[in-house]
Amino acid sequence: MSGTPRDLPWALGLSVLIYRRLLVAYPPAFRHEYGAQMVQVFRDCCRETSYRGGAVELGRFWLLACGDLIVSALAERRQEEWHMTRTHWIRLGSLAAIVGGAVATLFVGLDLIIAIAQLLDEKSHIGLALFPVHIVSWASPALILFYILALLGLQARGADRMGAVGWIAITTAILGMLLTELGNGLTSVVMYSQANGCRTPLDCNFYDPNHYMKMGYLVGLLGSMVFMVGMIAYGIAALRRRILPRQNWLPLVVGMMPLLNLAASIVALLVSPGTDYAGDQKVMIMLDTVTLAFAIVWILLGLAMRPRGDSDLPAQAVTVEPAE
Amino acid sequence: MATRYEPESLLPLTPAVFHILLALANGERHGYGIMQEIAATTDGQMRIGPGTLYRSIKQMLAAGMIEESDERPDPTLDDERRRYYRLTGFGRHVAQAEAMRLARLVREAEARRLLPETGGMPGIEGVS
Repeated sequence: MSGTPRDLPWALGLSVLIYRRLLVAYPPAFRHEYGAQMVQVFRDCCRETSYRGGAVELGRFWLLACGDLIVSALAERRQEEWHMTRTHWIRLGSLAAIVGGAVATLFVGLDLIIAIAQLLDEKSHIGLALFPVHIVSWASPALILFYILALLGLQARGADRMGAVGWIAITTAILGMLLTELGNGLTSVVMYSQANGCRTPLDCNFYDPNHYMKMGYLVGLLGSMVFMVGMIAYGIAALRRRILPRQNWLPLVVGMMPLLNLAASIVALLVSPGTDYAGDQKVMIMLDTVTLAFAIVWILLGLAMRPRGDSDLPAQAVTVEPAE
Repeated sequence: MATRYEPESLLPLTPAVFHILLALANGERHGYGIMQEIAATTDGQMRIGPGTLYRSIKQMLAAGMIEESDERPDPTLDDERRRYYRLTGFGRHVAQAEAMRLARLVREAEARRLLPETGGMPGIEGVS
């Protein structure tokens, strides 16, 4: 059976009316942007198919249009949900990096000021020399959460370009961070429990018959290495694939910071801490400076990740499959 | 339009996206015009619905492969509510990169004797 457009004006009108109602399946933003165009195209297609093959051809087109509508509406809703989730993670990660970096900057900055003050005047506020022990004990676990959120936000930012490589590298970095925290936690618990008997964190004979501190130090060191491997791999990939709108070198710098920390620790060991009060303070200043630089790099990373308006957010990938 | 993508990073394209790029290669078209061009170039074998068409258009706009055109071929002959789309320079590069990728695949298929020398396979003619 075939016909002309004159034969099926009611069918055309009814088809368009139903199709327009069915567009409710799409997300509101998509419907608002493209709904009218889709109805127009649908009307044109109905007109052409009914002209060519009458009701039978129109029915076939309806089947295609229904399949297309179901598949594309579901895909659009899923993609919008993923896009929203991803945007949410990017914003959260950016904020976490800035806040975590700022908190660390504040604490380490204070500690640096105290160390410099004590270097200038040995007798002033000796008890404050144990300030970093308290910081490590209380602030560090909180900071690690901020930094993990920041890394997840970073991966969300570069998800479309980093793919599986990004997930593997960032997961390695996070595991390294957790290991470091475990090791540092073990060390700092021993230190914190005996801190009142110490002159400075570097000038203290801790009672540790089970070698928990050494164990903690080794686990922390292992964690730093794991973090470094993951983060450097991520940083190199990020630099090549340009996941950030600006300062793509920052993830690599974050990955290399433990190297600087390690170098500072080696220097600290070489100058034999604990034998000279002024020497201890100089070592503390050096270690604090490295930690401060690390904290500032996190803030810079958070600022670089921060989306400046919706147009600055990563575009949705071109992954449309035709519904045939 | 500036884009942050390398053309190769978007490959392989989905059939719908590549066909839309092909349809726009010779000039700007509106949505229905794109569908007609796709149907014509594939002898009706490739048919996409309005949903797939506009999802693809949305994502191609976001990726900077196409852009909306303000001009109308002939405003008196056309509905002014229609939106026209055209390829960007980047979109043309992406289409070229995908065409080259497909050409390499065809050469591979030829080298492995998966294609007939002279028109032995129905529907495939003159592939070289």
